[in-house]
Amino acid sequence: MSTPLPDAPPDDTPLRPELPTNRISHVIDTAIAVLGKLLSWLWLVTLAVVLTNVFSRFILGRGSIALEELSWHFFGATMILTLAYAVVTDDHVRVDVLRDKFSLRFQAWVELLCIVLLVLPVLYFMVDGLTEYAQRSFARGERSQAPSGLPYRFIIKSTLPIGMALIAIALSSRALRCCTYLFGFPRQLPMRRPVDHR
Amino acid sequence: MGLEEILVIGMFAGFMGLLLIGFPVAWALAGIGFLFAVIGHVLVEHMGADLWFSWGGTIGVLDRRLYGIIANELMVALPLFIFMGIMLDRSGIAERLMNSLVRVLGGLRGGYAVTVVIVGVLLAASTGIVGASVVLLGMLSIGPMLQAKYNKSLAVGTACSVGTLGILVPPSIMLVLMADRLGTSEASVGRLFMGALIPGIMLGVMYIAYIVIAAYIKKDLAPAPENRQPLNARALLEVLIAVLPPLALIVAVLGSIFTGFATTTEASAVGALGAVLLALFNRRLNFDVVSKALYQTTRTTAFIFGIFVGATVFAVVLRGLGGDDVIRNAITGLPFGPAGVVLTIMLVVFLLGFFLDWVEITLIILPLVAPVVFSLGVDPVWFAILFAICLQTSFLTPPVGFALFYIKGVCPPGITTLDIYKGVAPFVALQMLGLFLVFFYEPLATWLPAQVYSGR
Repeated sequence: MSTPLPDAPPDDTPLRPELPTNRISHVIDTAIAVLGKLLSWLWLVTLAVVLTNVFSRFILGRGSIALEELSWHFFGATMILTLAYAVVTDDHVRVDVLRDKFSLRFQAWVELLCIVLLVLPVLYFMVDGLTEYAQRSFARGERSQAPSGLPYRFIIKSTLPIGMALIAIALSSRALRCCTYLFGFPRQLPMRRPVDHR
Repeated sequence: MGLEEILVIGMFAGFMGLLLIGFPVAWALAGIGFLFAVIGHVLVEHMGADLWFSWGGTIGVLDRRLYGIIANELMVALPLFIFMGIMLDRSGIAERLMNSLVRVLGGLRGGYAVTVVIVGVLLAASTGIVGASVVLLGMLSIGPMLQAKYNKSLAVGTACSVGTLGILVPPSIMLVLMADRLGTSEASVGRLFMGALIPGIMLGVMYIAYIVIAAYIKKDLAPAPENRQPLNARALLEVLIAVLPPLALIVAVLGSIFTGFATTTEASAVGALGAVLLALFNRRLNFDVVSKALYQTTRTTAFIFGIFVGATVFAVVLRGLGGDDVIRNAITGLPFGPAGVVLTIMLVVFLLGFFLDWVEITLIILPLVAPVVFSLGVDPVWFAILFAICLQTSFLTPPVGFALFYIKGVCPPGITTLDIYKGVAPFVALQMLGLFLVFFYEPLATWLPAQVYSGR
């Protein structure tokens, strides 16, 4: 299992050989990592919103439904839009029990085929369905069912297809890196050592 | 065997296959879900198979299901608890606790190991991500224990076992996720936290008792230091100063949930604020620490919710293919009534724990089996706590329990895999004992929540 670790010891850098990168993947990965790090600061905003609600409840005697909804809006947007960042840092859990017994070539084939044949298609259907879902929400002018809740539900609903599309882009970048390793195309980007996007 | 059974078994087999090759769990779930949606569609539309499956009823409802993951106030607590744990790790609290407690307990045989248990249980609160707490405790305590001439196996075994207690001792993010998936008010977050409290502390006490007894029987296992410093009031005061803040934080978080004073999410926010303040008082708060903690919060949250997204796809397709009925029939067909059912599920969970993290098991297996088990009249809190202890034991069990892999990463050279196995073996036995105690004496898990929530 490769759960993200805190203060991982220095010798804990990936033991297995890493996939080489190429120019396109490098640009995509860097962009998604920068976006992920920037969005990470929204956790502080989420925290501030919940705390504001706590204090207003105990000091003013009542909580605000709008603030409560705002807290999960921030949480949801941050979470959905940063799923792709964890693809780039390879933090999505893998099972390592047998993995080291397979050659990198075999792993790259599996990774490439699974991404292209299974995951990208399902992400396509998800983005498609979620876009329509957000559009419907916009067209209906959907708002919170609570009278004092937030309007503009379509904003949070729009983050869903965007987040899924970002995952698709990040996974495509990874598939391209498999291609670079397997077929030498796109051409490998020479690097002294792999970039750690964490 | 009917078509449904074949498809359900096929889904699980395909998932396990992709998993073992090393494909990320989240995308393996989504990919296999999609593959079987296509298979189901082709079978129904083009081959006239006798299935209830429909594309619109599975892939077509994903939009609502995915929105349901984020439109959930309880889930806000997860990143906030994760951030709280990471800040506690980086605030230097653990070192301080360890150093001051050792001054008091270090003079005793096994005192250092006992300290590790206490610190571990106090900070178990911290993350609830097995890898994180095992690595933290391992780095902090193995070196000093070896310096104090402790037996290698005991040192490693203690750090490793106490680290896995973190997923059980509240506030544990695993229990939050379990409560969400169980979806019954009889197993709310508050009740699960309550239910886990006694078993968690009981396991900690059992660990301490084992260490103390073993250290007295085998004199060279965990010797007392030769030149022990006399205990004075100053040392005691320092312990108090070190223990009080994190203890107060945990009591505040749990207390506000238990008393109904605050929701789980609000309590997690207060906890996160408290952790930031503790870091500030320890002069550890700076841009670097906060930004790294935030990035790590994002990656940990993403790994949990990535699986959530994948499991959602997997689950709608599994249900669309009649998986719920297949699982229900399989479970109700088991012999020996509810107890037999619970034992069988625990055995399966124990085995799955060798390959899968608690996140996958909680998100995929728990929602499948829980409704059936509850319909047999099994107490939800009791079942969830058994489930949790069982997972925790599984993570500790050689040769593939994966707390062992983490501890190996932080062991100093000279400690072999066999040392680690020998070290955790007694703790695995204690876990088993704990599991059986809770199994045969239900009130260990259910008494406290029943007391607290009786009036509500």
